Amino acid sequence: MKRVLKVLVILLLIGVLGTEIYLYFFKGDNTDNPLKISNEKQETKYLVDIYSGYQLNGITFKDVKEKNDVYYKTITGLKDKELERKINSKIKDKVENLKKDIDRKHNLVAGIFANYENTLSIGFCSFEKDEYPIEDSGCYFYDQFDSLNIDLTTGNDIKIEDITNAKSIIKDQIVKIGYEELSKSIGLVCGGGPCQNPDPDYSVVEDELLSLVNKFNNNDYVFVYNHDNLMLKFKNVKILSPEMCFDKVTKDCKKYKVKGIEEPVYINQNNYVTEYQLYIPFTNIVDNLTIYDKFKTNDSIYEKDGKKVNVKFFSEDEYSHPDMIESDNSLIDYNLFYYNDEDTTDASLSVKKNLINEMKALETNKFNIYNVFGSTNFLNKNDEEYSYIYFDVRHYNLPERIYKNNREKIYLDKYNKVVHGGGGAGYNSYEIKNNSNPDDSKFEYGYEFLKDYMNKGAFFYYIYDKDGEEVQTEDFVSHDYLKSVIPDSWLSLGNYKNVEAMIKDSLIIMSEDYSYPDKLVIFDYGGDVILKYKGKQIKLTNDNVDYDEIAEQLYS
Amino acid sequence: MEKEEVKVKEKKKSKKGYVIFLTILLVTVLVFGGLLVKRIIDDKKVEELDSKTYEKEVKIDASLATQPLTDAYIKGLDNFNIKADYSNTDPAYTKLINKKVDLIVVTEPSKEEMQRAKDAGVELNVTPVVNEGFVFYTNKKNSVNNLTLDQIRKIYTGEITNWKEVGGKDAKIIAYQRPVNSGSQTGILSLVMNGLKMKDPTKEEFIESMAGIIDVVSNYENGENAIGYSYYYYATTMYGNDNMKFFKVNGVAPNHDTIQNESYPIITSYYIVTLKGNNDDTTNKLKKALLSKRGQKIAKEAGYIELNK
Repeated sequence: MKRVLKVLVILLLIGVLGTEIYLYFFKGDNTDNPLKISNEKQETKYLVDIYSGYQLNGITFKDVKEKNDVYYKTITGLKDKELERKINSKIKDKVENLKKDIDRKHNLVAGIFANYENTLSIGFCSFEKDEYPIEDSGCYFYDQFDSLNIDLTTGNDIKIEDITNAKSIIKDQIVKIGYEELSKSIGLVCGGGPCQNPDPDYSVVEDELLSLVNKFNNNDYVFVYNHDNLMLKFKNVKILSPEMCFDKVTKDCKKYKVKGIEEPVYINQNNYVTEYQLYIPFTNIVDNLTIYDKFKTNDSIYEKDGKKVNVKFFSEDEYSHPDMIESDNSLIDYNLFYYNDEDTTDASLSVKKNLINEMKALETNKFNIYNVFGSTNFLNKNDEEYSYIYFDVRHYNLPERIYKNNREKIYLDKYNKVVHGGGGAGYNSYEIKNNSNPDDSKFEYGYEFLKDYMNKGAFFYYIYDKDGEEVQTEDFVSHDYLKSVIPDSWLSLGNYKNVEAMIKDSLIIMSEDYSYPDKLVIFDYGGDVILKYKGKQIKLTNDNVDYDEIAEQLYS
Repeated sequence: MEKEEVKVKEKKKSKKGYVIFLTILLVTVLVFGGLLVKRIIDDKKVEELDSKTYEKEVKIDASLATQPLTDAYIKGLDNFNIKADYSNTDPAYTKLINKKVDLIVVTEPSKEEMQRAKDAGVELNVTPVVNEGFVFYTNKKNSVNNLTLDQIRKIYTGEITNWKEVGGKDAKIIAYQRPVNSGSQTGILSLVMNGLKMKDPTKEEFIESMAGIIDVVSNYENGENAIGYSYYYYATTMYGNDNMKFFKVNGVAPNHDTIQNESYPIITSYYIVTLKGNNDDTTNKLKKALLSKRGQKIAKEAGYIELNK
């Protein structure tokens, strides 16, 4: 017993000693830095799959207007009406709060920036009042000064951490994009087009960037997002932004000689802005994006579901109608460029179906990627308008590993080309070598990173009437007229038995990017009609005979 | 009989040993207990000292780099009535010299700023408030982990041009520089180069406008051959990511502890600057508070590095 007691006493004292040592040496200042963002990744289960599309919310908006001073929208269409009331209350409360900060000379206008995957991003703008209806003001992405981002499944606020799986990802983008943009705001000054600042002071860039990052770390910013961008707005900053002095030359405006501009230029090198906006494209952070998936539910929360947009990062009204069609071993990157809304006919759906069937002829049993670019033109025949829809198809034949490694790149390539490539016009242009067949031509465009795997190029076109019925070329053109203009000597250039056979096999091409030397081509482009065969050509339009006259005879 | 005597002797010996051991243990417990109690009392005294309320407004300014620090002081030292009127380093010095503000937290005064004070008939009282390190970084793929100060100087004078000269692979060193008069450029000149002239950067080495140093060092295809520099606070706040690492300098890696205890060789500070002869009690008390344990704790929590104890 005594022995047991002795042991207990010793253990107790050791325990006390150990605690004291721990408290004295190790406990001390336990000051974790709450401001530094952890670089550890958060959960991964909501990472976006960019191969699928996204779902628009099944809600409709109700305009709320208070005289010509305030304009915003409330929602309707949720199954849970209590939740709907909660969300509308939240919107109204926000409006009431913001109204307090706005003077009588300005209005308050709300804009809906994101309405998909059970999330809502609302921006609030304020403009000087004028005589025009407030609902025509338009609160755009770059105008907003405050925001409300809502999870429609709960009515709770969406935080910046919901956009990606780690806040540090956004911080890194602020640093990367911010550095470039802050430098540009110092280095490029001309309003009418970029010109180099002859006396830039870049010494402040790092400090300015630090101030933005610190504001981000302190949650001192406003954010909104749409289908492809996150926008952060920082207020109460001081960002150097030299500007040209136009109307009023003040003491701050110094005279400079700028390269490329004859007249001297006056620049205020000490101009500062107090608000700063930064856009982070979702495609920059695609590996960490969660906003599309985090608030999805298995069961619909709407009385009526919204429509689906087929490709991520494109808006539902993207004019270039991008599409990605994927099966087990094929990916079709399909893009049809429309000129305006009236071009959207049933023909486009038939064309797509026919085209895909024709492309399957190129398919191999490996992995296939098709890069498809199309455009719609119009032809007139007997005072009826017909759609002429053509496609340039590049087929790539790939081993599985290369296919899988490049899928994401293809989606991102599509986004970058459509959004940044000149309105779709520059997308997938094809450079023609003299009188060459696309099958034989040297590869210039399409997927540069897959050029080693290109199998074939093909050109397709379809002519449709207004009812969506396809018309073959030989039925569209006037055989009699063509026989009267095609020289007999052309027959000897090729293997056609007679001109009729040549006409039956002819093509109408409405783009200068393509040529088919082995077929009779009716080249209808830019107000001219030219017949081409085997390197020979006859221009039917000239100074005395205009296009309409020729077309009336040719397409009769 | 003898056996019993031996047993008794052994028993006595063992009892004696136990008593000695217990005494030592007890004394140790009491000593550490006493130290712990003293610390608690000291902390309490500091808290009592710091808890006094000062109504008089103290106007402060700060550099862009130290504004988060002063924001933290405003929040953490809520017994003081601190009003921030932020500009940046040089205008802050001007405002102090012209007595528009009472205290500034900034980088060290330049010769021009000292002269400006002299011309105005005042003298600056400059006291370090937090430590700061000047760091060099590269892409994680770079096999070199350590550089001596001498090697760094030679890289930037152009004497060393290839990583193999410092134990790395055979590749040209891309030694990025910063814009003239920027904080980091001033830092490398004053803290590292020791009067040696830096080489003229090549076009690719001059990060002027279109590429941030973080992008080129961490993501650019030549990132592993690049070296960049900045202050530790800047680097950890802005540039910390998985692709980058700091160089050890003279075998010492820059981190909170090595910068605080000044074992890292490139050390500087941020400073509290007031005017000599300023007898305002509240300003002086605030300065004491910034340097106190509580103030240093606030600084650490804000991401800065406390002074060497």
